[in-house]
Amino acid sequence: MTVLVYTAIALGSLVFVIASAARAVLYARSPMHLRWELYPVPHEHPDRVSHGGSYFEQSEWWKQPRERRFRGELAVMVPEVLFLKALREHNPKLWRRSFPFHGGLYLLAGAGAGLLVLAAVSRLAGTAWLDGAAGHVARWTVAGVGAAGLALAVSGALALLHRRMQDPALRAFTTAGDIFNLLFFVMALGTLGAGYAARPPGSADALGIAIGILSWDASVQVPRVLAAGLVATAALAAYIPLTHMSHFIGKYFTYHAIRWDDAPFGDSRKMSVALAASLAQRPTWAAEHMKADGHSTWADVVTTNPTDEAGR
Amino acid sequence: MPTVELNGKPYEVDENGFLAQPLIWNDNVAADLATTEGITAMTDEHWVLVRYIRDYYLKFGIAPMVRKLCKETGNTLTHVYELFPSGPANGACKVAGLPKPTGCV
Amino acid sequence: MTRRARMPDMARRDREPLFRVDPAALPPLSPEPQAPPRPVSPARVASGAEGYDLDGTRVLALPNPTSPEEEDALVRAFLSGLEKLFSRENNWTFLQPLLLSMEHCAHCQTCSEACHVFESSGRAEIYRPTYRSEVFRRLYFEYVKGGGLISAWQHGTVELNWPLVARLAELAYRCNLCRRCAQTCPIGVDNGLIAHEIRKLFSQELGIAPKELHAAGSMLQLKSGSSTGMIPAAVKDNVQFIDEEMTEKTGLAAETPWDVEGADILLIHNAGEVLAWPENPGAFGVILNAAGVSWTMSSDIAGYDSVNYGLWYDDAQLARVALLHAEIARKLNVKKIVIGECGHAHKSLLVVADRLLTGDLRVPRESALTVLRDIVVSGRLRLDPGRNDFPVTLHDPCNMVRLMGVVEPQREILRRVCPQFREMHPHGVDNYCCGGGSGFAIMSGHGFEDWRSDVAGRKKLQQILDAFSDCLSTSIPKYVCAPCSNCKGQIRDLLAHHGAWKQHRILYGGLAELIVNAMADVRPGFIEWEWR
Ligand code: SF4
Ligand code: SF4
Repeated sequence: MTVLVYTAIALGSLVFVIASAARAVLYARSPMHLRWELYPVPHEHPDRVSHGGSYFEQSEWWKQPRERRFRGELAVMVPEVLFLKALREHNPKLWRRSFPFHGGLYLLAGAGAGLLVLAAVSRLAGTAWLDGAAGHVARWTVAGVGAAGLALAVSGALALLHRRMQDPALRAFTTAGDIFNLLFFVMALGTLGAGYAARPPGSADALGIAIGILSWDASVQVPRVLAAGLVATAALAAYIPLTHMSHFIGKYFTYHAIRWDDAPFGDSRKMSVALAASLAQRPTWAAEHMKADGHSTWADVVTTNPTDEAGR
Repeated sequence: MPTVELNGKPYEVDENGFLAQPLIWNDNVAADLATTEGITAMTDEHWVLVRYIRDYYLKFGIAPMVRKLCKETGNTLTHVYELFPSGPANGACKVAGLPKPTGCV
Repeated sequence: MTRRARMPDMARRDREPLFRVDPAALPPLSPEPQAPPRPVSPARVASGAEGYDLDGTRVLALPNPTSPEEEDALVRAFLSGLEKLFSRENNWTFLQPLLLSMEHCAHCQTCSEACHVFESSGRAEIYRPTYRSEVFRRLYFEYVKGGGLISAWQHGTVELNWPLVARLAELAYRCNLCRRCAQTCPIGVDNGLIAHEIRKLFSQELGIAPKELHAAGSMLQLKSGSSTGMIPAAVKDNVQFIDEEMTEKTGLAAETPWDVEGADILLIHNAGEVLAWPENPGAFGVILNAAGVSWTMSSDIAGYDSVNYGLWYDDAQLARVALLHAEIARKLNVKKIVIGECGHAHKSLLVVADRLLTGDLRVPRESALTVLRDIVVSGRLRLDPGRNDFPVTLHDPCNMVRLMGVVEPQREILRRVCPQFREMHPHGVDNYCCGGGSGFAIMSGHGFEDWRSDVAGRKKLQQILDAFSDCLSTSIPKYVCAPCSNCKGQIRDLLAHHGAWKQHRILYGGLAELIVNAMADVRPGFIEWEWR
């Protein structure tokens, strides 16, 4: 039983990491796309960011040094990631439900990471310090953050579910999967919270289980409901990156690789190579004017004038 | 191509009501097409504009610039709109039997 | 007819539209315009219902299959195009953005509130940015990603048949590609891009595109040199006429230099300007000559027409025209290409084609707005802003502003030459599209011109009325400055459709005209207050 829980947690984490990475790699390896940025682009010069301007506002822009201020990006990314700023601005009603949900997940992830750190320290330095003042503070902090995270995430998910059912515009686009996803959160995290709150006295607490995993100690007693919650949460973690909820990865790319990708070709070698590779691809589009037969490359296709009587 | 009946005669036109075969155009056709502009009787003023457009089209294959049209026929643009409520391109050119102008005009 | 169309309605086999615009039921405008009576277009009466109706208008001449076999063949062609859209060899140009927009929508509907088409239609479901995307997304998961039960349950399904394909093709042309929705999406999903990709699928695989954009657009341009049909001789003849006009009007000798090798600037206008708004290229000539700039125009095929309609519906056509433009600049050995007042030409040659041009085709390319700004700011022209003492507001063409970040140069100019300049709200990168974006301004037939004035342009009309709310009286002439040919065409039709010139004396025009109108060395009255 205990080993089963350990295995589930390990597998869930592994799938989460691998599937997330696979997605990121898939996007990162996509061929260079044509430019499709959207202003404001925050790494521009601050004078221009304020009105959403680009380097095209400079005369002979190619002669000017190019601004690329990471600080500007951070100023957008941090509030976006932490507080879902765009949603707050453009859809405050939903934000009031979505923010607790996501905030709860962040707290939970933080608590999980905290647990791992405490467990690792304890494995290396023994568990005696945990009974000292520092140990107490650390354990209670993690427990508090985790509990708050669970409460927020579960109530946020319920609020989202309620809104989805009740707002006709949302309902029209809601699939069975959408409902399942939210219910999955409620059930997994709810069970986890309930199991933790109702664990019999003397049974393993969160830290005990974390230490148990790191040492793969099968003698740790995980109470049933808590075990169920842990397994469900592990399954949830594995499930997320397989769905559109992987938007935490997608979002990185939609912002950095598309909305903010204003890199001019200039004399970039990397882009030349990428373009050459793409122009060597052989399209098979069937429309007559495309003049694509599967043999011609893109380079051939775009240098063919489809109105030439002589053809190709 | 849709067909419309104008003054009892059938014409093949595009979806904007422009003549499908510009070469069948003659004065009677023009008068028939004019009804789609709400013009019941073509006046001399109408004819001056229509003939100028027609001649230009036969020479260059496109409609004349509106400004050139006004200048060389001695009309203000407002007056052209009074004569052809849909304007020079969609009204006068249509009556002159041109295909619909293309491009960002 | 149902207002709340659902996704399955796309596949309906009856001939009723999913939505029909009832002008009286649209969101009210204030002050309510008195639309002038218009002659009824006979073709509308004549063309009965054929094909499957989306919303009572149409821009495509879709095939009209008469047997189930023909329908099947078309659906199969659609599916093969769908697959190609997601393959590297066929769609490397936009694969990454497309995948990201397909996979991550959270169905939160934040984007809907940003869309002027959706709002101005009285929130018709079919115009919701996500409606089109979601239908397409479901097809993607089912037919590209393999589908299956789990996928159907996770992503939903929609019945695929010819009526749905036909309506989807039309629906791709009810979006202006303004991407205002994408700006508000918390995840960065781009419904405008999805519409763009659907258009590409139909054009590149099935050869289906509005004739204004394709047959009489990019194809005509590749053949004759301009989508207006102007051959080189015609454009020279017309520009000569403009030069004469300008000389007469301004009192300054105007002469357009043609095909000057080694000039600093190769100026490429949208050729529509020459035909429909000649005072704009005319004003450019006056300004450049007065400022002593070394410039030229080109009479080479496509060298005198900056349009590139491929941007809106077809990557091959986009690349072909961009290559022509670059090639001409290379041959003339000019220092840079400057694009006149045309938004999509800016975006296509300066931005999108930037990753298509190689080697010596990489001629530097700049916006005319920065060139004009520099001249105005430099003090090389003697300017008398008092001559522009009438209310002026500015329309921000999406392609130049939200999609390219050229926001301030036009404002720097207006602040200097127009004492009564006032902004619309919202403006800049948050602007609303004029309703003519992505080629709508030049598309008509089957009532589409009414649709884009009643629905797509409604928000812009309200913005214009609001910007002038303190001076709507006919005794005060007012000017909407739209530095883009496509926007000008739409605003012309929009103002005419709603009678805004007659009722409020609201005129529209370009930016260069306002500069020349303020030039102290030019005879007063360059801008003619006459409807055009
Ligand atoms: S596109 Fe973006 S804003 Fe629109 S529903 Fe999807 S996630 Fe929400
Ligand atoms: S791109 Fe513009 S027109 Fe198209 S759906 Fe988005 S907001 Fe609406």
